[in-house]
Amino acid sequence: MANTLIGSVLERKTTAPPTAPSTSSLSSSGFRNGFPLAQHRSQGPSFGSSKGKGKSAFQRAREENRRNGNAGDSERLEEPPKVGTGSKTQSSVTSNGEADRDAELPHKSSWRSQISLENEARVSSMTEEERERERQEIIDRFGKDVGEILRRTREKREREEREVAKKREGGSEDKDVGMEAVELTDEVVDNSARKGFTPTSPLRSATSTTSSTRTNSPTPSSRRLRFAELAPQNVHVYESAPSSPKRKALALPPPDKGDASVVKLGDLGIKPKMLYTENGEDQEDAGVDSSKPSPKLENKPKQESVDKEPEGDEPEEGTPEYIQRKYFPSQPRPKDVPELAWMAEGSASASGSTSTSTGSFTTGISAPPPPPLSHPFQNVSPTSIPGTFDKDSQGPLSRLRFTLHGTPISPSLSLKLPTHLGLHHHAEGTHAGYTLDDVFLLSRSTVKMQRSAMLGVLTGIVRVIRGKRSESKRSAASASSSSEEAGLSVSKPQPQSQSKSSSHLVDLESYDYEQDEEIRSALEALRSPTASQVAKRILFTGLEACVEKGVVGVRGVEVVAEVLTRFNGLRRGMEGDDEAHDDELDESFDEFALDLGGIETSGSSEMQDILIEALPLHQVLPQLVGVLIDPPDRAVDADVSITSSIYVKTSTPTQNRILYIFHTLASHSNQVAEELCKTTGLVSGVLKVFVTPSPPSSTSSSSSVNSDISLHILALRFFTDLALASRANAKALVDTGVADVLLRFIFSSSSAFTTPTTSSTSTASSLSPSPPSPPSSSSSSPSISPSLSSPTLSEILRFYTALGRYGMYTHIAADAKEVWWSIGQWIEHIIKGMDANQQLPPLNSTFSSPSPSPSPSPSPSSQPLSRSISFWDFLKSFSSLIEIWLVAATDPHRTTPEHALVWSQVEGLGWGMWVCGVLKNLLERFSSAYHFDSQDIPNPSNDNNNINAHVLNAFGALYRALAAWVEGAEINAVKGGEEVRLVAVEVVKTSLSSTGLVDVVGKEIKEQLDSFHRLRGTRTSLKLVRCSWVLGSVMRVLVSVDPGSAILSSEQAKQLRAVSQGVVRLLAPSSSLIASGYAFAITSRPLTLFLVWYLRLLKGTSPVNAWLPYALAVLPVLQNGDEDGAVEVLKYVLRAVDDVDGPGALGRNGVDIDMIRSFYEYEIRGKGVVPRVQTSKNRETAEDEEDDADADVVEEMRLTGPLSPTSKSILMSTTQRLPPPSPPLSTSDLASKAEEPTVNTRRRAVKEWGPTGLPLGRTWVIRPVDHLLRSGNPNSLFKNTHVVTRPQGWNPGEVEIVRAVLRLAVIGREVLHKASIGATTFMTMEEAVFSCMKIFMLEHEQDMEAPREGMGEEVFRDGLVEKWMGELLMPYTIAERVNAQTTSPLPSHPTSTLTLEEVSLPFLGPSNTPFYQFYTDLVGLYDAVSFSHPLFGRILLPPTSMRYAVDYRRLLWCDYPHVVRSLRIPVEQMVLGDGEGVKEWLWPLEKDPRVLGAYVGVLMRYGGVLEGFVRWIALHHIAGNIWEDLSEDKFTESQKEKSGRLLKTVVQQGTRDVVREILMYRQSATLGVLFPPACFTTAGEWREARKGLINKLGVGGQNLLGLLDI
Amino acid sequence: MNAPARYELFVLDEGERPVEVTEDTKIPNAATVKIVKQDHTLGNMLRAQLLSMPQVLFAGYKVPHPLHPYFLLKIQTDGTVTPEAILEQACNKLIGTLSSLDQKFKREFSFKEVESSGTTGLGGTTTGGFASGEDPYGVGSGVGGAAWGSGKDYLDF
Repeated sequence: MANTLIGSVLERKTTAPPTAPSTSSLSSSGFRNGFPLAQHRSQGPSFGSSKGKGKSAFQRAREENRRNGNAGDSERLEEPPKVGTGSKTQSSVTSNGEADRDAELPHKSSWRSQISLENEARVSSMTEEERERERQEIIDRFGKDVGEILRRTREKREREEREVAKKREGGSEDKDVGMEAVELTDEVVDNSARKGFTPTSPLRSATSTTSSTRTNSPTPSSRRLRFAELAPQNVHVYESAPSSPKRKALALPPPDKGDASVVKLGDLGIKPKMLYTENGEDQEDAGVDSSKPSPKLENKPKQESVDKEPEGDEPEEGTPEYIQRKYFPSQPRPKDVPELAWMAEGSASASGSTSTSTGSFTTGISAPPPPPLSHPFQNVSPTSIPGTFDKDSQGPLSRLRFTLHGTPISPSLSLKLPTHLGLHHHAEGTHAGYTLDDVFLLSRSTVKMQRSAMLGVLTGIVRVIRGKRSESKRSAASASSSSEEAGLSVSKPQPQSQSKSSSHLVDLESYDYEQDEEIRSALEALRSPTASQVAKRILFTGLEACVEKGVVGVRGVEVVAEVLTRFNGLRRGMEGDDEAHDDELDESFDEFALDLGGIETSGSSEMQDILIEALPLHQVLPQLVGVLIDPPDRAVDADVSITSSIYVKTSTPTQNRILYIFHTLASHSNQVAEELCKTTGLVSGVLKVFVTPSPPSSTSSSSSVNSDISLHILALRFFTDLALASRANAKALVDTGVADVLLRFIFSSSSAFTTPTTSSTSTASSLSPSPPSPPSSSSSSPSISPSLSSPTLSEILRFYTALGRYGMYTHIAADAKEVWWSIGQWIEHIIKGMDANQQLPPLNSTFSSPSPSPSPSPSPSSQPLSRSISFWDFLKSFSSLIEIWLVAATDPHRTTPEHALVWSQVEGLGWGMWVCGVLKNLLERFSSAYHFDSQDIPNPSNDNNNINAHVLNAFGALYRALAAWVEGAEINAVKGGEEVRLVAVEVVKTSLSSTGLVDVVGKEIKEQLDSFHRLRGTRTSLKLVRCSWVLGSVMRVLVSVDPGSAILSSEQAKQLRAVSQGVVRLLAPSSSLIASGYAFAITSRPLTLFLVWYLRLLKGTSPVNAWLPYALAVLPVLQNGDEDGAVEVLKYVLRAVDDVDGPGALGRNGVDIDMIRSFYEYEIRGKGVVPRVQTSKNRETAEDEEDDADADVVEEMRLTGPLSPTSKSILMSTTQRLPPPSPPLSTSDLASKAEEPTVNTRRRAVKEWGPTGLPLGRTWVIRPVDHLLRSGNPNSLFKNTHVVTRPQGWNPGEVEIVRAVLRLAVIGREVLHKASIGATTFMTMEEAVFSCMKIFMLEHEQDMEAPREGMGEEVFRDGLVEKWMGELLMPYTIAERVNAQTTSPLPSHPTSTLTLEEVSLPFLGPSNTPFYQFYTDLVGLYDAVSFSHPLFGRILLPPTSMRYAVDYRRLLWCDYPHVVRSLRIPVEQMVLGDGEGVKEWLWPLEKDPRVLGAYVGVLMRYGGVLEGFVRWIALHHIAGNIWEDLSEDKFTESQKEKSGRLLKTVVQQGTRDVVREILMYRQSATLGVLFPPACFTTAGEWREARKGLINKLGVGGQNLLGLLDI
Repeated sequence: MNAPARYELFVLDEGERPVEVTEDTKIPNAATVKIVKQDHTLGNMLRAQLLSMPQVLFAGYKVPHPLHPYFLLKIQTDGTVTPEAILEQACNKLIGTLSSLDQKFKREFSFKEVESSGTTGLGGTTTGGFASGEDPYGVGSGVGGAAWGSGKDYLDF
């Protein structure tokens, strides 16, 4: 846009002819040889100036110049002076302008005034809008403060003009007084200045402008002159801000009596609002009598400067600011440069007018006084603390007050509270309590107790932020109880203060702030995501205090631990989980998740996430390690521990909290976990503090018990978590010796295991009263000492399992074989004990943990972990360990290091037989005496649902171990492990008996699946998942033991089929039951595991057409970590699809389905093998140097270990934890997509396009086309061909790929439809349409120079592609839908109401391509190349239904009317979505005048040619806007008038056919849709009404009415 | 950088034919015409002209690559004429339209010149003013703006 205010720079003719540089200055000043003479300053003034003595060389040189007069000036005239109309050229103007100032002064002022007149005239002629635009433009160009600068210069100039005028009148011409800068009067700028934006810092050019002029140097004459003219408003008062508020406060004059704003002296220096109050006073003073300097200012030494510096803008000579401006004008301002920071102190005060913060203090004279302060409260603002919040956004928060416990109190309550609660010490007026700012300020106090008290308040505030009061109370209780649990009684300040003031706090305790209306908004603000700043501040305040000694440090750690506590439990991700918060459930869920490999908790937008990401881990972790080693509460602790035990060192509460913090961090994300592992001393520190090795002297059993107690379960879990996070971590843990230390515990407790075997009779008898699980009631069976150590032992075994999943530390299996053997013996003995008794108690009473522990999981304590021990847990851990070692031993080259464990060793240990024995024994027990299903009543209130969870887990682990044994034997044992298989079959047979495990579990799953709809929740899903894991393990055994699955009865096979279908339905992407969440992600692992194993089983037993639909249904639902399984399934599927038609069928020619396998494999694995975070550098190398790219890829690779480890996975997997689930694609995100501001949030939710990894989702079939379209994208397969294996010479063309893809899609859908299983996993109409759109968009390979099959052969012109695309879309056509309604009740495709825009998001992604743009391109392509391809035309129409924004219709109907003409689509061929069907096209009626106009226009112009669906749509909307009887509601007057006009237009311009159809068109919004031609032939009352309208309007006459009578 | 030399936009290569017509093998009465050394200017005009002719069922063009100076015109007729014939007709009509437009424009413009020279010299003087540089603020000044405003109407036929 042309800028009309700022004209171009023109060269002006100079009036003075340029003269050659004169040497007079050199010669006259006594320079010799061209160099100045060296002369010491002290040698006196040689120039006669009285002031020269103290002057710098620069100044003298300048004076010299001036003395030389014009000679010096003309020297500078070489450069032509320029005239600028804006301040951009100010500086140059300034320097040059002064040269010809004297000569040109009159002229200059005249042209200036002329310009200014012109400008003013123009500005006044502008509209308000234009002015605003111009103003904005000027501001854009010159910065915000241009207005201020211009205003100042203008003032100055006017002042000077006045001076000159005066002087002229007096006849005294002083040449020195002139205008120093040429500033144009600009009314616009003045406007902007007046509108009151305040400058923050002036342009540098402005600074140099005012400082580089000659007039600045104070010669006596000029100064004297100005001095005489000094007007009060010209005085610039230099702010004399003291360096600290204290000093300033002391300098205050005593306040007036009765002044409302008087502040107590006690608050000085602390209350931030002090500044404001005082400020107000200042300004009031100044405002009252600005002519006379305020008394306060008179006290200051700088008052002199007021006299000395009348100019107002010039700093005093000698001040840092002055030096800086004068000699280093190009330097940045001192406060911006650290080296010059020392100057900032002084200059900040000197440059008062340049910064707003000080400006508010200092410009009291010029600035208008602020509104009077009515009450000191209202002015208390957080901004008064440097670096806090924004004043506006934190409005309600700044007034919220808290008690000493962090409980918020409402303003009314705070007025009522008595003064002795300690809440008034820092309070204002009569309000009690502390604001957030108070707390933050006081938490930096130097008084330790004050500081610690405030940290306590912060802890309370965090609990308030988190919400639930009950929870916070509980966690508070547990926080304090953690000390008791560790055998300590640390005296804590908080309980003390509680007890002290407890009597007064009674009313406060009962006060429920959640219900208080007054502070609701403040609470909401506090909890809103935007308030994470507050939490962040709290976190950092706590971190600051952590390193302190004593109670402050304790409280600091407390605050940090509290802030980092997970705000919502892991399982909270489950949508619709309305179960109450249940700690025990949480605990069991977390434990189960750990068994499954864990999951990263990052990725949510919760507060905890933001906080952890904000942590500077590099600095924080070493500090925390320091605190951990030397905790501040060590002294107290030491006394206690010494008295209690000599060698048992227990951890202090602070250490517990730090461990808790570490644990939270470790579970956050793998990166953080690696960071933790890398921090020097962290792991060893935790080991030292929490895992104390038992003293070497202790060989007795008592010592071993003691040492076990000192083992901290949370610490063990922390290690397990670290190991699960990444392979590097596991290696680091082994290297640090964690595993070695833990092995010692196993050794020391192994002596206990031998006890029962040696004295079996005694234990058996002792067992009899409370069999079979003495561990659960540890009090009753003291004889079995391992029961005491079981939980810790289980944890240790779990840690070894985690290591084993990377193939690490497996050598202990052989090295410590005695221990494992004795453990195995002990377990067998226990089970035999059950046998001996023949008295099996109902499992629910025994194994449901009988002691409900009150401790909650989010507390930083180990209490929840020390639940009653379960023998079954131990058995499960041990079996899992056996399983992983068996897997590791299968191939010795896969372990790290190699040959750590070999098969012969494993065989020697006899684990396989042991597993068989135990399993068989157990199964016999259960099948004879116990029915699993006796307690299957789903009853969430009862603990029953949790019952045999532990038993089931143990069974599952045993089955897995068995499977691993059989699988290993197949490779390593003689004859492919035939004998082993025989043994295993025996075991499996037992479990497959009529009341056996499989039946029971299967029934259980089915029931859970059924009830899942009603009772969605953690309990149900947990149970379901556990059962399916067991079932999956059984399947795994079956697959390897009995490939033909002959032992599976038909009944059982049926049941399994039903179960698997239910699971598929549950996991199907369209299932609305489950939103994606952490809980869902983690719980789906066993489900998919079951599906994969079941599929393998099925594949071995049934013909292709039985399992192919199942495989097709399973493939899209497989989840993260199932990559191996998915690739295998894919292989089956592709091979099978290739065979479906059989050789020689139509699809055979040129379609090689296997060719596209690389795409799918890449999609499945891609996420892990492509660098996840692509920096620009990476991207370049990826393109330039292939080798380097490879190295990068390997580094960033992520392979999640599968749930059933294989010998390959233990070598390859880099992590065992699931990545955080990707945020769900919610429709609410897209509902607001029209609004621009939401774009950013949407971007965050949708990832950049690339291979999605698992789950594949419904549209997986079509993915290869994405890669074709995005072949240039760095994430495309074509850029990453090295990642997946592909056949030699693999270079398929677009047509081949699309053919294969479509064939797979068509066959897949058919198969799924026929089998009626999982048809819901196929595409919706929108997805299918979008897939076709992508195919139509393919045009890369149209080589015009060398056409292959006909010229410009587009992909969609290929015969097969065309045919299959038609088949793909067929089920969605109107004709098919009408058929389907009558014939088959089964849905042929999933129903979904996602729009095309939403469906396209994963592909178009956030790469700045909205679907609208894609659609625009598509329409353009249709217009250019389609030859009115009928299918292409059909594809164009879906986005123009009334469901979508009007823009799509405008594009098609208004911008491409000729395209509409060529859309010859029969109505029944139209594809429809699932929502409203064809109604979504018809209602609501089109109201947009442009589209309506286009309808009319197209219909009038192409009336005869237009046909099919588009004609119907146009007719419908035109008729609907003419006839009132078609509309949903009555016409308004304006609508009636419009309808009349519309009718006239139609009648006058339309052909007879069109007019007739408009007249006869009949449709009803409420009844079913009438398709053409039925909609033109109905009769009814409405005809008369229409006739009436025609008569009324008088259009057309009888001819027209006759049409209606037919 | 990779842009071809400017002359390549309008100079035919050795042995290059300016127009190539390829009949479509699959669609009846359809042809793709490749016209080299031309761009959207001609392509769009031709397409619009073709679309306005009743025999044409489909007409579209595209410029496959912005740096390659040719476009593809796709024509499908209803069978009464061949695509080549209809293209020829379209070209003739287009030429006719353009030449009549040219004539009209010239005539009107000469009217305008006569008219304006008869009535006032305002436009002339302001232009002279620009040239002499006496108004250093060019378009920014009110007079200049007025001149532009008044001078605009000769385009508004």
